[in-house]
Amino acid sequence: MAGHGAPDRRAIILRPLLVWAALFGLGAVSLGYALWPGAPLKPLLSLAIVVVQASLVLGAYMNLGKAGTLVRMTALIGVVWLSFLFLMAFADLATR
Amino acid sequence: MSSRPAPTLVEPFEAADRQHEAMVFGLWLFLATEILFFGGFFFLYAVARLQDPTGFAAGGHKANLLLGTINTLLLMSSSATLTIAERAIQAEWRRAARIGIVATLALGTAFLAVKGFEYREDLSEHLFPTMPDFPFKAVGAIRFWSFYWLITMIHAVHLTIGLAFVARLLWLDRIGTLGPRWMVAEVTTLYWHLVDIVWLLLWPLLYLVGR
Repeated sequence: MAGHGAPDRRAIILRPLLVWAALFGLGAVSLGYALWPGAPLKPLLSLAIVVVQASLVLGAYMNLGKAGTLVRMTALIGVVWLSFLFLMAFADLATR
Repeated sequence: MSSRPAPTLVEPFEAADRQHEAMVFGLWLFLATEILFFGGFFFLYAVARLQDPTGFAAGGHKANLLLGTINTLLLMSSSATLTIAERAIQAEWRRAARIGIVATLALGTAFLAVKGFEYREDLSEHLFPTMPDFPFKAVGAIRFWSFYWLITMIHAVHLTIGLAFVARLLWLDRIGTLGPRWMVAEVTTLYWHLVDIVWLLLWPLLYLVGR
């Protein structure tokens, strides 16, 4: 955020590559589990992995953790309203 | 740590910090609306899958896992290259920034090309719900393929817009104003990452279902 210095050259290359490797590894786990015949709870595991991957992108690439309160609130509000949408729409669907 | 280049200020801002906060906030506000926009489609997916899980899985099994996975790798890599570019711009490391931007453009374009090949293959197998030879009768499978075409096209439009913004960074570099406009690079990168996150979610929803 504002006022912070720019990272040094080594960190500029290494940090994104480490995150890339983690995202790749998580994707490989997701794929391996999906292709494992008869493995239980495949959709749940793949979604859990997506949550971890998205958190990595949000935290390490998009710097959401270092962002100011206003920005973090805005990101959170998007997710909060989305959860309301899902909650109310599923409640409607389940009670028909 | 070196400091960031002095930014180009635009009206009505008189201070770099204010401009930076406003730009990042404005972009995140837009991303929040995008989360809601895509959220509606994911709700559609959830309902369709819950109402006919067997038919949905049968439809999903026909999706091209190899091409979908290649595209996931391409987009994942493009996020890394654009992050490197964005941070290099802030560190005034022009060569790395240029390489990162060009690599992102190449990876993004490759994604669209692979998607094009995938669409051609899908159509050759009649996997479009309104085609007379569409191979499924189950409602779930029809809904899966309707969702597939709708969401992948919407995603491709988002990616194309992202490519235009990344290409603009290359143009700013060419005219020598990219360094002072590092905030533009930052918000461009934020948008690109959201497009990447959406695909990270789409990959298991479209290509791992029914495996």
